[in-house]
Order: sequence, then C-alpha cells, then structure tokens
Amino acid sequence: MLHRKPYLARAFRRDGRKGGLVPTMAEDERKSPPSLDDLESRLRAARAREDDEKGTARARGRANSAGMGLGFRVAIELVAGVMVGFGIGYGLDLLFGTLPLLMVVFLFLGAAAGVLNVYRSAKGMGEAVGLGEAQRRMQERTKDGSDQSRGDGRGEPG
Amino acid sequence: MEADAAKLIGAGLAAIGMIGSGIGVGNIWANLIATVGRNPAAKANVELYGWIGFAVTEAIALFALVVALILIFAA
Amino acid sequence: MASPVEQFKIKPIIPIEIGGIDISFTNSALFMVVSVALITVFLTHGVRSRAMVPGRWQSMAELSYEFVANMIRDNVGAEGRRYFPFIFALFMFVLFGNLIGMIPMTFTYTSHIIVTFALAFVVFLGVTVIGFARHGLHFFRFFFPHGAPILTAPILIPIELISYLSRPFSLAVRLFANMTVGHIILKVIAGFVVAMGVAGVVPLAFLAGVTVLEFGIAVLQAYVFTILSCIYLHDAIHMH
Repeated sequence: MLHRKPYLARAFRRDGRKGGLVPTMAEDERKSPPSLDDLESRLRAARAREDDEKGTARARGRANSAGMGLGFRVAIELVAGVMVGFGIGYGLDLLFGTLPLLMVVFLFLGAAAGVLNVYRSAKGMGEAVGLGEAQRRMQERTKDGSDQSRGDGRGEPG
Repeated sequence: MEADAAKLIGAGLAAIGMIGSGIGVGNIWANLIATVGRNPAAKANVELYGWIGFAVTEAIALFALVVALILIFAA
Repeated sequence: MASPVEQFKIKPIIPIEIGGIDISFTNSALFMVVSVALITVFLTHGVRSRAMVPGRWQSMAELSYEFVANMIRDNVGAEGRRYFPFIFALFMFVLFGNLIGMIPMTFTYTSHIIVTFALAFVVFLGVTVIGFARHGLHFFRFFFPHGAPILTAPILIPIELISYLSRPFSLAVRLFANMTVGHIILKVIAGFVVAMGVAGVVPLAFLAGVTVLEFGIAVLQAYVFTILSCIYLHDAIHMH
C-alpha cells in the first residue's frame, strides 16, 4: 500500500482512442453521484491491479534484504534458546546447589529449543520472498484451518 | 589466582572447538543449497536430512560450550 | 574521532533521585516523550479535518491505522480487534523511536536492550495472561505438541517451555541489535569520510546508501516487532 501512485496518476487514465489523458471518474460521475461502496470497490480493484504489476519486480528486489533479515532472525533465535536454557539451568543449580548438572541439561534443552525455533521460523517464513508474502501465505493457511504448518506450527511431522 | 587464570584460558581454548561445528554447519547448508539448486524436486526429500544434520552438528558446538561454561562457573 | 558507541550514552538531563534510586529524566526519556508527543500530534492533527477525501496528513494517519488494522485482521483474526489500541501504540512507539533516531544528534531509545526488552516482556506477559484467561489450565497444552507420544513428554515439555520463554529475548534482541548495529555502521563510515579527506567522497556515497537502507530497516523492524507480537497473540487466542 505504500506504493500508491500520486493523485494525478490515479485520477486520470490514458485514453487509447483520443491519445490523451481523461479523468477516470468522469463517465460514472455524470450518471449519478458515486456511492462510497462503489468508490471502495474501485479503489480495491485499482490497488490489486497495481500490486499485480509491481508485485513481481518488487519481490525480486526485496528478496535479498528479506533473506538477510531472516538470517539475522535465525541467528538470534538460536542464541536466545541457548542463553535462556543456560540461564534457567544455572538459576536452578544455584537454587539446589547441584552446580554443573542442571546447567548442562538445560543448556542442551535450550539448544534443542533454539534449533526448533530456527526450524519454525525458517519453515514459516523462509519459503516466502518478503514479509508481505509470508503474511499472505500465513493468512491463507489460517483460512484453511490447517494451523499445524503455520509459522510456529507445533507438532509438525519431521 | 593462577588457578582462576588457568580456568579462563581453558574456557577460551574449549571455545575453539566451535570452529569445527561452524565449518560443519556451513558445509551442510552449502551442500543443501547446491542440491536444491540442481534438483529443486528433491527439496522435500533432502530438507529433512539437512535439518537433522544441522541439529547434530550444532550439538557438537554445545559440547565445547558446555566445557567452557563448566570451567568458568562450576570447576 | 568520537567513539562509535558514544551516541548510545545515557545522560541525565534533570537528575532526580528518590530513595537512593536514580530515576533521572535522561535523554532516553526525553526522546520517548518527544516521540509520544509527535505521535499524538501526528494522529490528532491528521484526523482533525475529518475530510471525506483525505489530505496529506490525514492520508498518512489513515494509512498507519489501516496498516496495523489489516495486520491484526490477517494475523490475529476478528478477536484481535480489541487488542488494536495496544498493538497500534506498540507499532507507533517503536516506529517513531527508530525514525527519530535517524535524525542526526538525536538519541535512539530502541538501541537500548532494556527498552526493547521491556516492550517485549510486556508483550510476552500480556500474551501469557490472555492465554491463561481464555483457556485456563488448558493453556499448558501449548507446551505439548498434539499427537506426540506421551513418553517424549519429559523431553518435549522443557524444550517447548524454553522455546516459549526465549520469545521475549529473541524479540528484544532483534530490534536492539538491528538498531545498534545500524547506528554503529553509520558512525564508523562517517568517521572514514572525515578521516580520508578528499577521497572521503567514496565513503560518503556509501554512507548515503546505508542511510537509505537504515530508514528501510527502521520501518521493517517496527513492522517485524509488531507482526511477531500479533503472531504470538494469535497463538495465545487460538491454541492449536
């Protein structure tokens, strides 16, 4: 939605026969004052058309930065899991006085959680090109009701 | 004091072990990307092994981390 | 050349100390107040005319509203409507914090992990409370995947628990790391511009490009922070 055309470009279209710019609304407006619903639907149609035109080109340009963002996210996710596992283990160890034991156990559990999170974020958003596409995909999945394979899909086989 | 210094040096040395894991993880993803690039149809088959390999290789780094942390906090 | 991390230093503007606790009004607090004031002015001024055909300001205010509303509708669903004020406030606060930080000589409060962690922790706490309020003790099902053999519970439940607890950390660290790294890079390259004299045109051109990228990252990270909050909210409302 951020890539709207300027007002002038939206309000006029190029007329093939006359070879000039004609106001797009002129014909309808002469018949009757346009209702808001009508305006809304026309706006939506125009936006959809614009998205179709720009979608492919923009997606290609966005792929790189989205990949970098995903990589960043994956790295943070991995480290966060290990850190939280270590923190919990060390805290419990200090509580019970069993120093190296729980720390080691929870470190491994935390690492497993980190890898799991990485897997989820890569599966949920990795296949999509940009965040917008990921969002759309997620939306479709939610509509299907197959929540299992969503971004955080729990209980996914394998 | 010297025992403390030795502990820290030991922890640092233990962390070197993560180099191997780094190389391993890089290898796994590089080969996975190459495979999928050559034969995209194989993605579904290969991906699972990629994740398993990633998790196992990542676990090797954890052994190094565990040794380092034990040296710092517990030993 | 000044140290690249000097820009993150918190300086007290009005020193206040109550009961031995330092609660000074710092530059970080100042810019939070500035951003809240700017958001208020932006939104109230934007929609004051209530025109049928929006002008520039109204268009921008409506655009930001619509953007967050769509995000909530797509990611949380109809029940997410009531959480709109919080999500919108979160988005605008992070967005303005990131963008104000792009103005030279300002302070980026989102580049401090305590700020981002506080935001992330509020989200985490809120989502957990909402989950418990809606599902009661059934919420604990969250930590055990459907259809997994019961024998794996002793391993899976701690893993899921840690994975759940690591959410606020990854949420906070992501925003903090992006903003901090971006600002350090800008400062380091700016240092090169000065140090290289005439040849500094090359890093200057690079700096211009990185600045554009940083603006993109400022918006993107606000978006990512909000959308992840939405996804967490969705998970708590519709448990799978």
